[in-house]
Amino acid sequence: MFRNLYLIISGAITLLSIWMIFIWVPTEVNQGLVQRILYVHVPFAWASMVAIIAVAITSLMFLVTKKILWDNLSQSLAEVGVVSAIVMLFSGIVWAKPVWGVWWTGEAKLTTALILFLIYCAYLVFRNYFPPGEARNRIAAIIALIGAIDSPIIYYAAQIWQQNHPQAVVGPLATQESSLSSEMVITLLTCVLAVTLMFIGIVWVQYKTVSEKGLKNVQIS
Amino acid sequence: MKNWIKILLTISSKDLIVELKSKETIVTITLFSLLVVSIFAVTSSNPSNLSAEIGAGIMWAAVVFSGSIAMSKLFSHEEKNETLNAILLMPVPIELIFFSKILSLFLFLTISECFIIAVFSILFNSNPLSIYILTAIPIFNLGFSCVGTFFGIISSKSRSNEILLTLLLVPIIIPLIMFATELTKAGLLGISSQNFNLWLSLGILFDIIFLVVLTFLFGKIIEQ
Repeated sequence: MFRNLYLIISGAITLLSIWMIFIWVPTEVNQGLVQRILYVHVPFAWASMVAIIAVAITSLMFLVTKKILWDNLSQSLAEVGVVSAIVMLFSGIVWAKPVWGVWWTGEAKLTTALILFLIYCAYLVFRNYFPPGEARNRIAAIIALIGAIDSPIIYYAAQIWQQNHPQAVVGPLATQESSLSSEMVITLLTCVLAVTLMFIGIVWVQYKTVSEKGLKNVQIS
Repeated sequence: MKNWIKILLTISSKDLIVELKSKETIVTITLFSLLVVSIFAVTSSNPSNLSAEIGAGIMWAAVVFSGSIAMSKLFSHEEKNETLNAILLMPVPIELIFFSKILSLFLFLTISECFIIAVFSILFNSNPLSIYILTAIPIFNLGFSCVGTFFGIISSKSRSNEILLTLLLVPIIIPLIMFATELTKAGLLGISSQNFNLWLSLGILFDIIFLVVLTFLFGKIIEQ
């Protein structure tokens, strides 16, 4: 009952956000149609950052409590978070080329996002390559925590790097500031809500799958 | 304290003696890095004109990848021969074992990098003796050895340990690579480094944070 209601509500909000992106929201004056990509990019960026923080928290909870549910949740969050990060990175570079004139810059946020994406890919590869068991879960949790500790250092390094390497963006809109009208803010917030609900739903389904797989492995052994 | 230093040097000397006999780690790091540097030298129409930024990046990328290959070989040998398990049975603090591994790797990397920087300077017609490069090397090597030892021991127990170690290690040490590249660039150009104090503080901060955190976590990855 709750699951069906959740599906209906998140489906309706997703459809609403699609209508708002393509039909309702006015076109931004400086960036034109390409600005609409940000209504996808920003929510997925938000989802991937939330996933990273959540993986660190659930990993810490697993190390402290040693309850398998926290480890299953970490794995689910990491898997969905990595997919969100791929959407974020891809939509970001598609937006950047016409607006900044380059696919990529050494800007601190971009560098940090890319490196964190690589750390979480490594986390998932580790989970696949290491023999399953308590040791794997414990070490995976430690890797997630190390990634979380490293992220402010990466951001700091990227900021110093940025100071030494001024941006080479030469696109037509590289130096023009954009401002958001109220319709744009409402559209953005609706998209964030839609992606958040989708994210929670997919994490929940993934968590159930991972937990059931774990239980089956225990029964077989 | 004196006892601890003696134990540290004893365990490290085991690695050094093995390395002197086999020369596997140093040769792997040196040759692989030289191969990478040579590829860029022969594919460039005029290596002397290669920008310092690209040159510094090439050099440290070569060191990172060859170092991770050498580390994965080193730890997989230890896992196969069960030497690490034997050392762990010793009645010594487990942190000393971690520090001894870091010390051994630090020495191997430093020796290899002396050759690599010398050859790089010849191929690319640059000056290797710069205070920036000499500062970058020990700080980079300490952080690299610390994180590499930690992940090397983890990955030695899994399949595809070489690729796993590289995948785990490289993203974590990105700040250190940026630090070393930036200082090397300034050294190659013979100019003063912008934000030298900031870079130095970043490198030292990275080493201190990871040395403390990974020493604390080392016991957790070893516990059976």
